[in-house]
Amino acid sequence: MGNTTSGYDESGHTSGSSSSSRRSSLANNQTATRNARSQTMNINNTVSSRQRRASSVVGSLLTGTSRAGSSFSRNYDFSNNTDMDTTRTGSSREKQVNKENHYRNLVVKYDECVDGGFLAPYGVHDDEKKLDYNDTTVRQLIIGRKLQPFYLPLEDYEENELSDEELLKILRSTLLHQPYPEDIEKFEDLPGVKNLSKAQLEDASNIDSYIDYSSSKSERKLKKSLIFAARLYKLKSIWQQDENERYLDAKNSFSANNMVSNDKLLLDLYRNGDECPICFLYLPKNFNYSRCCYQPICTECFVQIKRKEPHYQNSHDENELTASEDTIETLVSECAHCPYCATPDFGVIYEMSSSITKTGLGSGTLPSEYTVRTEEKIDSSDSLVQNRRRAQSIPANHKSVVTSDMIRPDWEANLSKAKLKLKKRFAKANTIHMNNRLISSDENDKMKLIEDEMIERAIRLSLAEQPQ
Amino acid sequence: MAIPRSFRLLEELEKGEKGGSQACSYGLSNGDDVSMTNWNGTILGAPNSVHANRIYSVEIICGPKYPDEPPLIKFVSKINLQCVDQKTGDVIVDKFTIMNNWKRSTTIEDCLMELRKEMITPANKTLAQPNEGSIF
Amino acid sequence: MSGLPKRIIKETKNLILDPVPGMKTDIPDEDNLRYLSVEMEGPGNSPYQGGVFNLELYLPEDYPMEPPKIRFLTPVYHPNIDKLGRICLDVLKDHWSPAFQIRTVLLSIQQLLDTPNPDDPLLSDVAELCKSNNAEYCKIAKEWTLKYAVTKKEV
Repeated sequence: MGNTTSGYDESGHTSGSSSSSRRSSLANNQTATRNARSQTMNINNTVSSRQRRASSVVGSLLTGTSRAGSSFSRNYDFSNNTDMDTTRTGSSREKQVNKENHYRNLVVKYDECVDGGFLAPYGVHDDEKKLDYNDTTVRQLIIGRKLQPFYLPLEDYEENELSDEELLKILRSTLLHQPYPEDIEKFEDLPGVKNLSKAQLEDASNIDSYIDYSSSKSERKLKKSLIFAARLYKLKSIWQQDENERYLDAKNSFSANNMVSNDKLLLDLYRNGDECPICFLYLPKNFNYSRCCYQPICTECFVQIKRKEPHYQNSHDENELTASEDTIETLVSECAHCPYCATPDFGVIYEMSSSITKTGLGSGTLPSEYTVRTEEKIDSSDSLVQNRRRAQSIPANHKSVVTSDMIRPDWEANLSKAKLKLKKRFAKANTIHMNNRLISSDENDKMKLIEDEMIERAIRLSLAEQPQ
Repeated sequence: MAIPRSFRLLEELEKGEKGGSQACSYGLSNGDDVSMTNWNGTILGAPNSVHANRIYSVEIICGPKYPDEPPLIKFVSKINLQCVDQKTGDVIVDKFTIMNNWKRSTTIEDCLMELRKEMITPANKTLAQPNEGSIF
Repeated sequence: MSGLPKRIIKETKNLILDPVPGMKTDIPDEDNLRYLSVEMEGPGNSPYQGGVFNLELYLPEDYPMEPPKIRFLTPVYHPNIDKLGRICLDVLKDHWSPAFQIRTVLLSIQQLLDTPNPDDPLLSDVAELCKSNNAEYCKIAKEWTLKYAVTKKEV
């Protein structure tokens, strides 16, 4: 019995030789990520392009800026590189590997089961931008019973309306993940995506063969990243389909020794369910509760709540035109607030229902062998959730609290990145501005000067939006 | 259940008001026009070409079927491009890929930026240009 | 994308079956259930009293994580509502919370009609008048209400 769960290390990642080949490749990818990172730091493989760049005014000014911004350099371990571009070029593959691993960890796998729920979301909120939480952390927290597992949600549920058989039938026929929309418009006309096998899609090295090399460098880069994104989108749904099939096989196999929850577990969970106040979906009642005002929230909704994008502290319209170099330091990242009572530093506590015994990962029991619904604990004095009903809010740094920042620890890095990006923008705009002044200095034409102002404005705008 | 015309145009307007982006600007011709049909835009001439430092103004009409159908774009400033009707200044949809292969997600800004790219395509790069400041 | 979320179905159903007082919600386009039209009565004892204001509302893809998009279709003279009907209201922007609902938003807008916030204006001239000469502001707002928001009785 212990065999099934021993394939997982504490981090919630698949490990060990008992896994299928797909899984071990996942582990390999993570090693690859680490390797890629160390290489990035040591190898300066774009020296020639750097020199070329440095010959232009803009380029040299920029290099100067990135040196001046040394505090940022240190934050990012760029200190052994003088040119930001070196690192960026080197890290794009690393980024891709990280992203691919992230997407793999967003696939719901039936045998990554914790107390009848899972380690990845069902897809209630299917905006990918908001699934950018740290998947390793969340998986760990779920296995450590610090967050409610991702449960399959029920659309409609009225107590007493369904017989046990009907309820089970619905639960058993629910897919592990909401079906993905087939084709989305933004990926419509991209080459190198349609009619490719899974293996071809997974092999990022063939993307180059779909790129038109007569196009400009930035266009090629854009195209490449678009193809990569489109493939990942498609792969995610293929990976999930594979998992759905594995789940189906496991359900149909008559061996009771597996990670499929048995009837008793499902009934104990879903007969005691409730609606999440955010998504209005019906889930087992062992919700996460806000640390401040003791309101329930399911994990699928919890992971959606995050800091806002960095913005100017004092400006309410964030007009790019009024922004100046001096305002960069006023760029702030505002912490996530409780959706119910607006308390800052949103955090939740989770205590699994005391009447359900632990099963699946991080327990000694297979979900297929769940038998007991333990007696309600008589002494609940150590229960934070119970005590919370009468007591004050629990501080954000309490060991049982999972905050929004904990599952997105990269917010500080993102804020620094945003500031750095702005600094570079202003540096560029200033250079171009100076160049224009030089050109027009011997002309007395007033119109010309006015036009310069307009150009400058336009360029500033252009820089404001340039992809990094 | 895609975003309806009005909210889509409001989104575009907001982006334009915040400073638009990338060497072009655009906004409503008349700030009171609740239907958000008529727009003005400017395109900064592509650098390293005869268009460098020129500013072209255009008129954009987002009809009732926008964004299911592309807008009409007409150059006010004279410009010599293959996709621009030399009598009227109208952008000829058949000769302008982004509007010919119209996608609902394509924006006014995309069109203006794409026109800017047209200026430096091999077919257009060498075309003689009318005097700066002349209008159709 | 993949069907209409349960939450949207439930919210709109409730709005239609159990409407907010002084408010009528409808789904004008059966093909787009994320698009709603609203008729809002101007609050009593305000310059908007007696008027019925049309609004349109769209629930974006990531609703409720993002706020609904909403604007007035009927012209309103108000410091926080611009000529395109756009509304400057914190709960529609920075202060949105996924725990709010369409109902919350509609009530907040009705409240905004009743108590304008000239210190955070969308239209500075209207805000200025609202602060310096409130009687004049009320007079113009009333005129607009009569002109645009009161349906003339069929003769």
